[in-house]
Amino acid sequence: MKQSKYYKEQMDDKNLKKYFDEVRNENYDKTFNKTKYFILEKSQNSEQMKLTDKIKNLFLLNKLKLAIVVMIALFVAACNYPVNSVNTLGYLVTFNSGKENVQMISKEIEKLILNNTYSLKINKSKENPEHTAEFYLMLQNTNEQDARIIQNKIGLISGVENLNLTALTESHSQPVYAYALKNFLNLNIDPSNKSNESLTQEINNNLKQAGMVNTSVKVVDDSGKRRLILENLGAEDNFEIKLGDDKTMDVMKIRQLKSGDLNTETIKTEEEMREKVKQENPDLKDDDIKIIKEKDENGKDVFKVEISKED
Amino acid sequence: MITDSNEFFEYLKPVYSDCIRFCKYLTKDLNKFNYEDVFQQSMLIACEKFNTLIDKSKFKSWMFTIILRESKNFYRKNFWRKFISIEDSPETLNLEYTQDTIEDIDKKNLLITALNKLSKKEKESILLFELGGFSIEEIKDIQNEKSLSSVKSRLSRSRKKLLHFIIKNKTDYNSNNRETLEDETIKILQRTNG
Repeated sequence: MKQSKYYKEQMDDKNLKKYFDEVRNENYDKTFNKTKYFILEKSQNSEQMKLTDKIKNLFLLNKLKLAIVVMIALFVAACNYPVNSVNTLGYLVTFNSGKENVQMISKEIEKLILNNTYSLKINKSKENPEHTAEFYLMLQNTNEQDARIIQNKIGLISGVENLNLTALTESHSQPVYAYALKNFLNLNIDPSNKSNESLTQEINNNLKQAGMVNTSVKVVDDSGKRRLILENLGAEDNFEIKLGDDKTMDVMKIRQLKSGDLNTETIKTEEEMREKVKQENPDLKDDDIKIIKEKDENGKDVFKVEISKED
Repeated sequence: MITDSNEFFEYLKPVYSDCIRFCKYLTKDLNKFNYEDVFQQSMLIACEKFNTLIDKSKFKSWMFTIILRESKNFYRKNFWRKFISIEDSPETLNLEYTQDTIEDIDKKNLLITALNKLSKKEKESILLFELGGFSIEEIKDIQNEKSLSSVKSRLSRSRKKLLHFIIKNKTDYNSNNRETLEDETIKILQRTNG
Protein backbone atom coordinates (compact mmCIF):
# COMPACT_ATOMS: atom_id res chain seq x y z
CA MET A 1 0.00 0.00 0.00
CA LYS A 2 2.84 2.34 1.02
CA GLN A 3 4.79 1.36 -2.07
CA SER A 4 1.89 2.16 -4.36
CA LYS A 5 1.44 5.59 -2.74
CA TYR A 6 5.15 6.32 -3.19
CA TYR A 7 4.91 5.12 -6.78
CA LYS A 8 1.91 7.39 -7.41
CA GLU A 9 3.75 10.39 -6.01
CA GLN A 10 6.76 9.66 -8.22
CA MET A 11 4.50 9.43 -11.25
CA ASP A 12 2.78 12.68 -10.33
CA ASP A 13 6.11 14.47 -9.97
CA LYS A 14 7.16 13.17 -13.38
CA ASN A 15 3.88 14.38 -14.83
CA LEU A 16 4.34 17.90 -13.47
CA LYS A 17 8.00 17.91 -14.45
CA LYS A 18 6.94 17.38 -18.09
CA TYR A 19 4.94 20.59 -18.01
CA PHE A 20 7.74 22.64 -16.50
CA ASP A 21 10.25 21.04 -18.92
CA GLU A 22 8.22 22.48 -21.78
CA VAL A 23 8.60 25.93 -20.24
CA ARG A 24 12.29 25.43 -19.46
CA ASN A 25 12.85 24.65 -23.16
CA GLU A 26 11.85 28.18 -24.13
CA ASN A 27 15.09 29.84 -25.13
CA TYR A 28 15.27 33.60 -25.49
CA ASP A 29 19.04 33.95 -25.96
CA LYS A 30 18.53 35.22 -29.51
CA THR A 31 16.73 38.28 -28.20
CA PHE A 32 19.51 39.17 -25.75
CA ASN A 33 21.25 41.73 -28.00
CA LYS A 34 17.94 43.34 -28.96
CA THR A 35 17.05 43.70 -25.27
CA LYS A 36 20.55 44.97 -24.44
CA TYR A 37 20.38 47.84 -26.95
CA PHE A 38 16.80 48.61 -26.03
CA ILE A 39 17.67 48.91 -22.34
CA LEU A 40 20.84 50.90 -23.03
CA GLU A 41 18.94 53.33 -25.25
CA LYS A 42 16.14 53.71 -22.69
CA SER A 43 18.50 54.28 -19.76
CA GLN A 44 20.56 56.82 -21.76
CA ASN A 45 17.38 58.61 -22.80
CA SER A 46 16.21 58.79 -19.22
CA GLU A 47 19.59 60.25 -18.15
CA GLN A 48 19.53 62.87 -20.92
CA MET A 49 15.89 63.69 -20.49
CA LYS A 50 15.37 67.29 -19.45
CA LEU A 51 13.42 68.17 -16.35
CA THR A 52 10.62 69.62 -18.50
CA ASP A 53 10.36 66.34 -20.46
CA LYS A 54 10.21 64.39 -17.20
CA ILE A 55 7.40 66.60 -15.94
CA LYS A 56 5.63 66.25 -19.32
CA ASN A 57 5.90 62.44 -19.10
CA LEU A 58 4.65 62.51 -15.53
CA PHE A 59 1.57 64.47 -16.66
CA LEU A 60 0.94 62.21 -19.65
CA LEU A 61 1.14 58.99 -17.65
CA ASN A 62 -0.79 60.24 -14.63
CA LYS A 63 -3.52 62.29 -16.30
CA LEU A 64 -6.38 60.64 -14.41
CA LYS A 65 -4.63 60.73 -11.03
CA LEU A 66 -3.92 64.44 -11.50
CA ALA A 67 -7.50 65.08 -12.57
CA ILE A 68 -8.77 63.39 -9.39
CA VAL A 69 -6.34 65.41 -7.22
CA VAL A 70 -7.49 68.66 -8.88
CA MET A 71 -11.15 67.71 -8.38
CA ILE A 72 -10.55 66.97 -4.68
CA ALA A 73 -8.72 70.32 -4.28
CA LEU A 74 -11.62 72.13 -5.97
CA PHE A 75 -14.10 70.33 -3.72
CA VAL A 76 -12.18 71.35 -0.58
CA ALA A 77 -12.00 74.94 -1.83
CA ALA A 78 -15.73 74.93 -2.62
CA CYS A 79 -16.53 73.58 0.85
CA ASN A 80 -14.79 76.59 2.39
CA TYR A 81 -16.71 79.05 0.21
CA PRO A 82 -19.10 81.02 2.43
CA VAL A 83 -22.82 80.61 1.80
CA ASN A 84 -25.71 82.59 3.24
CA SER A 85 -28.26 80.71 5.27
CA VAL A 86 -31.47 81.90 6.82
CA ASN A 87 -32.57 80.69 10.26
CA THR A 88 -36.02 81.11 11.66
CA LEU A 89 -35.80 82.44 15.21
CA GLY A 90 -39.51 82.31 15.92
CA TYR A 91 -42.91 83.59 14.79
CA LEU A 92 -44.71 86.81 15.56
CA VAL A 93 -48.52 86.85 15.71
CA THR A 94 -50.01 90.36 15.60
CA PHE A 95 -53.65 91.35 15.96
CA ASN A 96 -55.92 94.11 17.22
CA SER A 97 -58.91 94.08 19.55
CA GLY A 98 -61.14 96.43 21.49
CA LYS A 99 -59.74 97.61 24.84
CA GLU A 100 -62.56 95.91 26.73
CA ASN A 101 -61.42 92.48 25.42
CA VAL A 102 -57.75 92.72 26.45
CA GLN A 103 -58.03 90.72 29.69
CA MET A 104 -60.24 88.05 28.18
CA ILE A 105 -57.93 87.58 25.17
CA SER A 106 -54.81 87.41 27.39
CA LYS A 107 -56.40 84.61 29.44
CA GLU A 108 -57.45 82.76 26.28
CA ILE A 109 -53.88 82.95 24.98
CA GLU A 110 -52.55 81.58 28.28
CA LYS A 111 -54.88 78.61 27.91
CA LEU A 112 -53.95 78.13 24.24
CA ILE A 113 -50.21 78.11 24.57
CA LEU A 114 -49.53 75.81 27.52
CA ASN A 115 -46.31 74.18 26.39
CA ASN A 116 -44.87 76.88 24.14
CA THR A 117 -42.42 79.50 25.19
CA TYR A 118 -43.96 82.84 24.29
CA SER A 119 -44.00 86.49 25.21
CA LEU A 120 -46.97 88.75 24.86
CA LYS A 121 -46.82 92.52 24.54
CA ILE A 122 -49.91 94.72 24.41
CA ASN A 123 -49.70 98.32 23.16
CA LYS A 124 -52.18 101.07 22.61
CA SER A 125 -53.09 101.42 18.96
CA LYS A 126 -51.48 104.45 17.28
CA GLU A 127 -54.52 105.05 15.15
CA ASN A 128 -57.15 104.68 17.86
CA PRO A 129 -55.41 104.69 21.29
CA GLU A 130 -58.60 105.20 23.27
CA HIS A 131 -60.47 102.14 22.02
CA THR A 132 -58.10 99.68 20.32
CA ALA A 133 -55.20 97.61 21.65
CA GLU A 134 -52.38 95.99 19.56
CA PHE A 135 -51.22 92.48 20.53
CA TYR A 136 -47.67 91.24 19.75
CA LEU A 137 -47.37 87.53 20.52
CA MET A 138 -43.84 86.19 20.08
CA LEU A 139 -43.64 82.39 19.70
CA GLN A 140 -40.19 80.86 20.30
CA ASN A 141 -38.98 77.29 19.66
CA THR A 142 -41.88 76.51 17.41
CA ASN A 143 -42.26 75.49 13.81
CA GLU A 144 -44.41 77.06 11.13
CA GLN A 145 -47.13 74.41 11.35
CA ASP A 146 -47.62 74.90 15.12
CA ALA A 147 -47.53 78.69 14.70
CA ARG A 148 -50.31 78.48 12.07
CA ILE A 149 -52.43 76.30 14.41
CA ILE A 150 -52.05 78.92 17.16
CA GLN A 151 -52.87 81.69 14.65
CA ASN A 152 -56.08 79.86 13.64
CA LYS A 153 -57.09 79.32 17.28
CA ILE A 154 -56.55 83.02 18.05
CA GLY A 155 -58.67 83.87 15.02
CA LEU A 156 -61.58 82.04 16.66
CA ILE A 157 -61.48 84.26 19.79
CA SER A 158 -64.20 86.89 19.61
CA GLY A 159 -63.07 90.52 19.15
CA VAL A 160 -59.77 89.61 17.38
CA GLU A 161 -59.13 91.65 14.21
CA ASN A 162 -56.33 92.12 11.62
CA LEU A 163 -54.65 88.82 12.51
CA ASN A 164 -51.18 88.34 10.95
CA LEU A 165 -48.34 85.80 11.22
CA THR A 166 -44.75 86.85 10.49
CA ALA A 167 -41.68 84.63 10.57
CA LEU A 168 -38.70 86.18 12.37
CA THR A 169 -35.57 85.22 10.46
CA GLU A 170 -31.86 85.81 10.78
CA SER A 171 -29.45 85.61 7.86
CA HIS A 172 -25.80 84.72 8.35
CA SER A 173 -22.83 83.55 6.32
CA GLN A 174 -20.94 80.29 6.93
CA PRO A 175 -18.75 77.81 4.97
CA VAL A 176 -20.54 75.12 2.95
CA TYR A 177 -19.14 72.31 5.12
CA ALA A 178 -20.45 73.98 8.30
CA TYR A 179 -23.84 74.33 6.61
CA ALA A 180 -23.74 70.66 5.57
CA LEU A 181 -22.76 69.59 9.07
CA LYS A 182 -25.40 71.77 10.67
CA ASN A 183 -27.30 68.73 11.79
CA PHE A 184 -24.41 67.50 13.89
CA LEU A 185 -21.78 69.73 15.44
CA ASN A 186 -18.76 68.30 17.23
CA LEU A 187 -16.92 70.61 19.64
CA ASN A 188 -13.78 69.92 21.67
CA ILE A 189 -13.11 72.72 24.16
CA ASP A 190 -9.97 73.06 26.26
CA PRO A 191 -11.02 74.74 29.55
CA SER A 192 -7.53 75.43 30.89
CA ASN A 193 -6.95 79.04 32.02
CA LYS A 194 -10.48 80.07 31.08
CA SER A 195 -13.31 81.28 33.29
CA ASN A 196 -16.75 79.67 33.24
CA GLU A 197 -18.16 82.82 31.61
CA SER A 198 -15.64 82.87 28.78
CA LEU A 199 -16.16 79.11 28.20
CA THR A 200 -19.92 79.62 28.09
CA GLN A 201 -19.48 82.44 25.60
CA GLU A 202 -17.06 80.40 23.46
CA ILE A 203 -19.40 77.39 23.27
CA ASN A 204 -22.48 79.49 22.54
CA ASN A 205 -20.61 81.40 19.81
CA ASN A 206 -19.64 78.09 18.19
CA LEU A 207 -23.25 76.91 18.37
CA LYS A 208 -24.45 80.14 16.78
CA GLN A 209 -21.84 79.92 14.01
CA ALA A 210 -23.10 76.41 13.25
CA GLY A 211 -26.60 77.82 12.85
CA MET A 212 -27.93 76.65 16.26
CA VAL A 213 -29.20 80.05 17.33
CA ASN A 214 -31.90 78.71 19.65
CA THR A 215 -29.58 76.47 21.65
CA SER A 216 -27.50 77.67 24.58
CA VAL A 217 -25.30 75.97 27.13
CA LYS A 218 -23.82 77.09 30.44
CA VAL A 219 -20.57 76.02 32.11
CA VAL A 220 -20.62 75.68 35.92
CA ASP A 221 -18.35 74.33 38.67
CA ASP A 222 -19.42 71.08 40.28
CA SER A 223 -17.22 69.61 43.06
CA GLY A 224 -14.03 70.84 41.43
CA LYS A 225 -15.04 69.84 37.91
CA ARG A 226 -16.45 71.86 35.04
CA ARG A 227 -19.93 70.76 34.04
CA LEU A 228 -22.07 71.55 31.00
CA ILE A 229 -25.70 72.50 31.53
CA LEU A 230 -28.19 72.77 28.71
CA GLU A 231 -30.18 75.99 28.99
CA ASN A 232 -32.12 76.08 25.72
CA LEU A 233 -32.46 73.57 22.94
CA GLY A 234 -33.48 74.53 19.41
CA ALA A 235 -35.67 72.20 17.39
CA GLU A 236 -33.63 69.75 15.26
CA ASP A 237 -30.29 70.88 16.77
CA ASN A 238 -27.85 68.01 17.29
CA PHE A 239 -24.36 68.35 18.75
CA GLU A 240 -21.66 66.86 20.92
CA ILE A 241 -19.55 69.05 23.21
CA LYS A 242 -16.48 67.71 25.00
CA LEU A 243 -15.10 69.90 27.75
CA GLY A 244 -11.81 69.14 29.51
CA ASP A 245 -9.00 66.59 29.27
CA ASP A 246 -9.23 62.78 29.48
CA LYS A 247 -9.51 62.72 33.30
CA THR A 248 -12.01 65.49 33.89
CA MET A 249 -13.98 65.44 30.68
CA ASP A 250 -17.65 66.31 30.65
CA VAL A 251 -19.51 65.34 27.51
CA MET A 252 -22.88 66.61 26.35
CA LYS A 253 -24.33 64.76 23.41
CA ILE A 254 -27.68 65.78 22.01
CA ARG A 255 -29.26 63.79 19.22
CA GLN A 256 -32.90 64.64 18.77
CA LEU A 257 -35.04 61.89 17.41
CA LYS A 258 -37.30 62.73 14.52
CA SER A 259 -40.73 61.22 14.39
CA GLY A 260 -40.28 57.72 13.10
CA ASP A 261 -36.78 57.28 14.56
CA LEU A 262 -38.29 55.39 17.48
CA ASN A 263 -41.52 53.51 17.35
CA THR A 264 -42.92 54.58 20.69
CA GLU A 265 -46.54 53.77 20.09
CA THR A 266 -46.35 50.51 22.00
CA ILE A 267 -44.27 51.98 24.84
CA LYS A 268 -46.26 52.60 28.00
CA THR A 269 -43.77 52.85 30.89
CA GLU A 270 -40.57 54.79 31.52
CA GLU A 271 -38.61 51.51 31.82
CA GLU A 272 -39.78 50.38 28.37
CA MET A 273 -38.71 53.75 26.96
CA ARG A 274 -35.30 53.45 28.66
CA GLU A 275 -34.78 49.97 27.13
CA LYS A 276 -35.76 51.32 23.70
CA VAL A 277 -33.25 54.20 23.96
CA LYS A 278 -30.50 51.80 25.12
CA GLN A 279 -31.29 49.52 22.23
CA GLU A 280 -30.82 52.43 19.79
CA ASN A 281 -27.66 53.69 21.59
CA PRO A 282 -25.79 50.67 22.99
CA ASP A 283 -22.96 52.84 24.39
CA LEU A 284 -25.29 54.51 26.91
CA LYS A 285 -25.65 53.41 30.53
CA ASP A 286 -28.73 53.73 32.75
CA ASP A 287 -27.28 56.79 34.50
CA ASP A 288 -26.83 58.58 31.16
CA ILE A 289 -30.53 58.46 30.34
CA LYS A 290 -33.13 60.57 32.09
CA ILE A 291 -36.76 59.96 31.16
CA ILE A 292 -39.61 62.26 32.09
CA LYS A 293 -43.21 61.31 31.42
CA GLU A 294 -45.46 64.30 30.68
CA LYS A 295 -48.85 64.98 29.22
CA ASP A 296 -49.16 66.99 26.00
CA GLU A 297 -51.86 69.57 25.25
CA ASN A 298 -54.23 66.82 24.11
CA GLY A 299 -53.75 64.94 27.38
CA LYS A 300 -51.70 62.22 25.70
CA ASP A 301 -48.63 60.72 27.46
CA VAL A 302 -45.34 61.93 26.01
CA PHE A 303 -41.80 60.95 27.00
CA LYS A 304 -39.04 63.52 27.31
CA VAL A 305 -35.64 61.85 26.97
CA GLU A 306 -32.48 63.60 28.20
CA ILE A 307 -29.14 62.00 27.51
CA SER A 308 -25.97 63.13 29.26
CA LYS A 309 -22.96 60.93 28.68
CA GLU A 310 -20.03 61.27 31.07
CA ASP A 311 -16.63 59.73 30.14
CA MET B 1 27.82 54.24 -16.59
CA ILE B 2 28.84 52.45 -19.85
CA THR B 3 31.37 50.24 -17.98
CA ASP B 4 28.73 49.46 -15.34
CA SER B 5 26.17 48.64 -18.06
CA ASN B 6 28.58 46.33 -19.86
CA GLU B 7 29.33 44.54 -16.60
CA PHE B 8 25.60 44.32 -15.90
CA PHE B 9 24.91 42.67 -19.26
CA GLU B 10 27.80 40.25 -18.69
CA TYR B 11 26.14 39.11 -15.48
CA LEU B 12 22.70 39.11 -17.11
CA LYS B 13 23.57 36.96 -20.14
CA PRO B 14 23.72 33.54 -18.37
CA VAL B 15 20.43 34.11 -16.50
CA TYR B 16 18.65 36.09 -19.24
CA SER B 17 16.31 33.31 -20.44
CA ASP B 18 15.59 32.23 -16.84
CA CYS B 19 14.53 35.79 -16.03
CA ILE B 20 12.19 36.06 -19.02
CA ARG B 21 10.59 32.65 -18.34
CA PHE B 22 10.10 33.50 -14.68
CA CYS B 23 8.64 36.90 -15.50
CA LYS B 24 6.37 35.49 -18.21
CA TYR B 25 4.83 32.72 -16.09
CA LEU B 26 4.67 34.89 -12.99
CA THR B 27 2.72 37.68 -14.65
CA LYS B 28 0.91 36.00 -17.52
CA ASP B 29 -2.54 36.51 -16.14
CA LEU B 30 -4.64 35.71 -19.20
CA ASN B 31 -3.94 38.88 -21.21
CA LYS B 32 -4.32 41.32 -18.32
CA PHE B 33 -1.08 42.98 -19.44
CA ASN B 34 2.13 42.09 -21.26
CA TYR B 35 4.87 40.40 -19.29
CA GLU B 36 7.30 42.35 -21.53
CA ASP B 37 6.35 45.55 -19.65
CA VAL B 38 7.30 44.00 -16.31
CA PHE B 39 10.48 42.51 -17.72
CA GLN B 40 11.55 45.76 -19.38
CA GLN B 41 10.89 47.81 -16.24
CA SER B 42 12.79 45.27 -14.10
CA MET B 43 15.76 45.38 -16.48
CA LEU B 44 15.85 49.19 -16.45
CA ILE B 45 15.80 49.26 -12.65
CA ALA B 46 18.41 46.51 -12.39
CA CYS B 47 20.69 48.29 -14.90
CA GLU B 48 20.34 51.55 -13.01
CA LYS B 49 20.90 50.03 -9.55
CA PHE B 50 23.55 47.47 -10.56
CA ASN B 51 26.42 49.36 -8.86
CA THR B 52 24.53 49.15 -5.54
CA LEU B 53 24.78 45.34 -5.60
CA ILE B 54 27.83 44.59 -3.44
CA ASP B 55 27.90 40.78 -3.59
CA LYS B 56 27.79 40.09 -7.33
CA SER B 57 27.54 36.34 -6.70
CA LYS B 58 23.96 36.98 -5.65
CA PHE B 59 23.10 38.61 -8.99
CA LYS B 60 20.51 36.01 -9.98
CA SER B 61 18.50 36.14 -6.76
CA TRP B 62 18.78 39.96 -6.83
CA MET B 63 17.36 40.02 -10.39
CA PHE B 64 14.49 37.70 -9.47
CA THR B 65 13.69 39.82 -6.41
CA ILE B 66 13.44 42.91 -8.66
CA ILE B 67 11.14 41.05 -11.06
CA LEU B 68 8.93 39.92 -8.15
CA ARG B 69 8.69 43.48 -6.82
CA GLU B 70 7.95 44.97 -10.23
CA SER B 71 5.27 42.39 -10.97
CA LYS B 72 3.55 43.38 -7.72
CA ASN B 73 3.83 47.06 -8.70
CA PHE B 74 2.29 46.31 -12.09
CA TYR B 75 -0.66 44.50 -10.51
CA ARG B 76 -1.12 47.45 -8.17
CA LYS B 77 -0.89 50.06 -10.95
CA ASN B 78 -2.93 48.01 -13.41
CA PHE B 79 -6.09 49.95 -12.57
CA TRP B 80 -4.55 53.28 -13.65
CA ARG B 81 -2.99 51.73 -16.75
CA LYS B 82 -6.46 51.29 -18.27
CA PHE B 83 -6.77 55.07 -18.59
CA ILE B 84 -3.51 55.65 -20.49
CA SER B 85 -4.14 56.06 -24.20
CA ILE B 86 -2.20 53.88 -26.64
CA GLU B 87 -0.36 56.95 -28.04
CA ASP B 88 0.83 57.86 -24.54
CA SER B 89 2.02 54.33 -23.68
CA PRO B 90 5.79 54.02 -23.87
CA GLU B 91 7.36 51.74 -26.47
CA THR B 92 7.93 48.20 -25.14
CA LEU B 93 10.07 45.18 -25.94
CA ASN B 94 8.66 42.33 -28.01
CA LEU B 95 9.84 38.98 -26.67
CA GLU B 96 7.16 36.65 -28.03
CA TYR B 97 8.27 33.04 -28.25
CA THR B 98 7.05 31.52 -31.52
CA GLN B 99 8.56 28.06 -31.71
CA ASP B 100 5.77 26.18 -29.96
CA THR B 101 3.66 23.46 -31.55
CA ILE B 102 -0.11 23.39 -30.92
CA GLU B 103 0.45 20.63 -28.37
CA ASP B 104 3.08 22.72 -26.55
CA ILE B 105 0.72 25.71 -26.48
CA ASP B 106 -2.02 23.50 -25.01
CA LYS B 107 0.26 22.27 -22.26
CA LYS B 108 1.53 25.75 -21.44
CA ASN B 109 -1.91 27.29 -21.39
CA LEU B 110 -3.08 24.56 -19.04
CA LEU B 111 -0.07 25.20 -16.81
CA ILE B 112 -0.71 28.98 -16.84
CA THR B 113 -4.36 28.44 -15.89
CA ALA B 114 -3.31 26.04 -13.11
CA LEU B 115 -0.68 28.51 -11.85
CA ASN B 116 -3.28 31.27 -11.73
CA LYS B 117 -5.39 29.10 -9.42
CA LEU B 118 -2.61 29.24 -6.78
CA SER B 119 -2.19 32.04 -4.26
CA LYS B 120 0.43 34.69 -5.13
CA LYS B 121 2.96 33.31 -2.63
CA GLU B 122 2.42 29.72 -3.80
CA LYS B 123 2.84 30.74 -7.43
CA GLU B 124 6.03 32.65 -6.62
CA SER B 125 7.60 29.77 -4.69
CA ILE B 126 6.88 27.09 -7.27
CA LEU B 127 8.18 29.30 -10.11
CA LEU B 128 11.31 30.26 -8.16
CA PHE B 129 11.94 26.55 -7.54
CA GLU B 130 11.05 25.14 -10.96
CA LEU B 131 12.05 27.94 -13.33
CA GLY B 132 14.57 29.89 -11.24
CA GLY B 133 16.31 26.74 -10.01
CA PHE B 134 16.68 28.20 -6.52
CA SER B 135 17.15 26.07 -3.41
CA ILE B 136 14.59 26.15 -0.60
CA GLU B 137 17.04 28.20 1.48
CA GLU B 138 17.34 30.80 -1.30
CA ILE B 139 13.55 30.94 -1.78
CA LYS B 140 13.21 31.53 1.95
CA ASP B 141 15.51 34.58 1.63
CA ILE B 142 13.83 35.93 -1.54
CA GLN B 143 10.35 35.62 -0.03
CA ASN B 144 11.48 36.97 3.37
CA GLU B 145 10.23 33.88 5.17
CA LYS B 146 11.31 32.99 8.71
CA SER B 147 11.47 29.20 8.41
CA LEU B 148 12.39 26.63 5.79
CA SER B 149 9.44 24.45 6.72
CA SER B 150 6.93 27.09 5.62
CA VAL B 151 8.58 27.23 2.16
CA LYS B 152 8.70 23.42 2.00
CA SER B 153 5.05 22.99 2.90
CA ARG B 154 4.03 25.76 0.50
CA LEU B 155 5.92 24.07 -2.34
CA SER B 156 4.36 20.69 -1.59
CA ARG B 157 0.90 22.24 -1.36
CA SER B 158 1.38 24.09 -4.66
CA ARG B 159 2.51 20.91 -6.43
CA LYS B 160 -0.55 19.04 -5.21
CA LYS B 161 -2.88 21.82 -6.31
CA LEU B 162 -1.22 22.09 -9.74
CA LEU B 163 -1.36 18.34 -10.32
CA HIS B 164 -4.94 18.11 -9.19
CA PHE B 165 -5.98 20.89 -11.55
CA ILE B 166 -3.96 19.58 -14.50
CA ILE B 167 -5.24 15.99 -14.18
CA LYS B 168 -8.81 17.19 -13.76
CA ASN B 169 -8.78 19.59 -16.71
CA LYS B 170 -6.27 18.00 -19.10
CA THR B 171 -8.77 16.21 -21.38
CA ASP B 172 -11.44 18.93 -21.37
CA TYR B 173 -8.97 21.73 -21.91
CA ASN B 174 -7.26 20.05 -24.88
CA SER B 175 -10.45 19.03 -26.62
CA ASN B 176 -12.04 22.46 -26.07
CA ASN B 177 -9.00 24.24 -27.39
CA ARG B 178 -8.78 21.91 -30.38
CA GLU B 179 -12.41 22.53 -31.21
CA THR B 180 -11.91 26.30 -31.06
CA LEU B 181 -8.81 26.04 -33.24
CA GLU B 182 -10.56 23.78 -35.72
CA ASP B 183 -13.53 26.14 -35.88
CA GLU B 184 -11.19 29.07 -36.46
CA THR B 185 -9.35 27.18 -39.24
CA ILE B 186 -12.65 26.32 -40.96
CA LYS B 187 -13.77 29.97 -40.73
CA ILE B 188 -10.46 31.24 -42.20
CA LEU B 189 -10.65 28.67 -45.04
CA GLN B 190 -14.24 29.64 -45.80
CA ARG B 191 -13.27 33.32 -45.89
CA THR B 192 -10.33 32.66 -48.21
CA ASN B 193 -12.44 30.58 -50.54
CA GLY B 194 -14.99 33.39 -50.63
